[in-house]
Amino acid sequence: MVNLVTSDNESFTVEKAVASRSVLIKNMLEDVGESDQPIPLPNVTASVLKKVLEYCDHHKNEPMPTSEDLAAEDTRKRTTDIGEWDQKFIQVDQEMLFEIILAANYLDIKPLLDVGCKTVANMIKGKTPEEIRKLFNIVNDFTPEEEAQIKKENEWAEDR
Amino acid sequence: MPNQSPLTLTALPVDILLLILRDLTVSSLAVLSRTCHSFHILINDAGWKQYANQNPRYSPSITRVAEIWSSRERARFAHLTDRRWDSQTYVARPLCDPWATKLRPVLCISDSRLVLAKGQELLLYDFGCDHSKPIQLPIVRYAGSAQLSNRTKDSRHDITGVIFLPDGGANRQLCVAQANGKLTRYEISAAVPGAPIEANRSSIAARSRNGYNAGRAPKILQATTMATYEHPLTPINYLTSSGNHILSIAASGLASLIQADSPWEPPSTIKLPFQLWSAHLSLKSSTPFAAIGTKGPSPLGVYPITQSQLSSEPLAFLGGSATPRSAVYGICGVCPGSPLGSSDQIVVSGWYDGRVRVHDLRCAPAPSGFDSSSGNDPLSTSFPAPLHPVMTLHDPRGSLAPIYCVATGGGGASQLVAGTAEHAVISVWDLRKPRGGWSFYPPEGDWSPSYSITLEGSKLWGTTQSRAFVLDFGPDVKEGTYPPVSHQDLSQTWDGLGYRTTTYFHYDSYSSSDGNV
Repeated sequence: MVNLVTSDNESFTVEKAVASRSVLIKNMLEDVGESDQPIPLPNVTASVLKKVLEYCDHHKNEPMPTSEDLAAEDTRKRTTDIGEWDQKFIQVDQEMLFEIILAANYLDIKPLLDVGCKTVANMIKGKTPEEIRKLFNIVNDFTPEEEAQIKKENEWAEDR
Repeated sequence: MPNQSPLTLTALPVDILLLILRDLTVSSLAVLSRTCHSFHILINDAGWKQYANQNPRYSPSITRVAEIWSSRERARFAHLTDRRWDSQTYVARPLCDPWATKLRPVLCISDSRLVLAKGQELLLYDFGCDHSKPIQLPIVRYAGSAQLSNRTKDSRHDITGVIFLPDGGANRQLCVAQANGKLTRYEISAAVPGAPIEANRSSIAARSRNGYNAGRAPKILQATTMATYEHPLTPINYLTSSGNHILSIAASGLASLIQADSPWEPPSTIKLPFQLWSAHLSLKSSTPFAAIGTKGPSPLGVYPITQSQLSSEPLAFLGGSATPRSAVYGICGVCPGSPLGSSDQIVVSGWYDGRVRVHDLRCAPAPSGFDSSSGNDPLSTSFPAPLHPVMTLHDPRGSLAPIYCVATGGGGASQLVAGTAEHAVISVWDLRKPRGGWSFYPPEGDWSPSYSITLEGSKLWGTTQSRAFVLDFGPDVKEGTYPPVSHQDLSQTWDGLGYRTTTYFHYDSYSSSDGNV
């Protein structure tokens, strides 16, 4: 078992297989060897870690992505499909979604980072600029002239 | 953490935002860049660049213009070009007026020019840039021609192959094969010493200001012999190259591998008991090889190359139709970004029976059951049975005339194009949905075979017995993009930019297995 301590000083005791989904923790465990020392995670709060561990627990028996898988990601056409369980798992409010993404990035859990980024991308797709601003609380800082010009320079990309 | 403002999308670090942008379509990227300054800057600076890297295209004719473009302009060109491929929208033009005699012209391309070799003449078309528009547009300019011999009545001197040799980016050194077996390295220069033929940026600018039409007069170029390669005096049928290695293929059965930078080295020559027609060199794969197309019952063999030596012991025969009249006339590899995978071990071939076959050398030959996951290279095992094609394509509405040439590339890096022996018909399949395809007759295609095809992201260049032509799928073809042609026997399209072509669609052109093996 591995003991993890969050930024708000909560401690979680989990199976090694679960914690090792995080490449960061996996490497730490390998460096330290067998030890009962708690592992501090100063960038993750308890509420977020709870969620991340839920993901790790569900996927603990799957093979870890290899470096070839990750290299192929960039060249091959990526799918934007998200698995059924992952889709349910990631149905959280925006703030939690971004926190999960940041935690997955920090803890180096590539598949979870992927699920998070794809979810945000899917939220953006098919919307108008105004709808995106509303959804993500983005302030329109363009002047009307700038807005018109940027619309024009991107006209070619519109779906027809 | 208390008292902190809630985490928002725009507050995410840039590297994470880029991961999100990676999953967006072109239209979503454009819409997102219209929401606020920070997204506009991020997408213009990094988003479009990332999109271009995810969608690589082999596009030599626009390479130099694209260097001037912003990443957004590059993404725009790639996206609009892909869309025009999807809807078969193009401008078709002859490159020059037809010539009178029947010839077997060949093409080669580099990032500064296209060379058309016909008879004993080399015609050069330079890739330039039109600065008169708000964005720099690619143009193609006739640079002139060089006559290699004046025995034009004697077809034994005709050029049968031409390739660019590495010369540090000047693209002036060519290796030319002639029907009489001569293999020569030429340097092309202006007839007036010192005058540039070079398509550097300043000279392009100067010329395009003078107007594209300046100089319909014949432009004479000089071809200076740099080296004569030692080569058996037997008619050369086909020439191909990879880096500094040249492979020549002769009807007599001789295949010669030549090192372009060491003309004093004798070629590595093998003699096969067949008539040889076509070849493809793959030197970057783990087992470098030459695929050679022949006439005969096993017309596609893979021959290993070790230390610049060609072996006559085939590693594999690639299966297809196995009749005595069978032959393979055209072979190519796959372009980067292809849905077939960008492997050097994939071979595309055009056959006598009118079919295009795709073989993956990593696949097991049918009977022996090879475990590809074991990491063994199938080429290094003992001589295998013919390898089944992974894909076979044909044009079911066409005449099933022999396929003379094949190429991959084009829209989505996903197009496979085959030129046939009859009426210059060219068939096109999108490998993402190969069950159906389309075919076209080039502008005034003559009763001629399609002799050669060069395919790049936005253009399909081809030759028939009496002319060279281009199909341009790019979004920016304008009056003056191509050299003017004078002949009246073609009907122009309504916009006056190109000429009419006839196209037809076909379905059920695909089979994953091949009954004839």
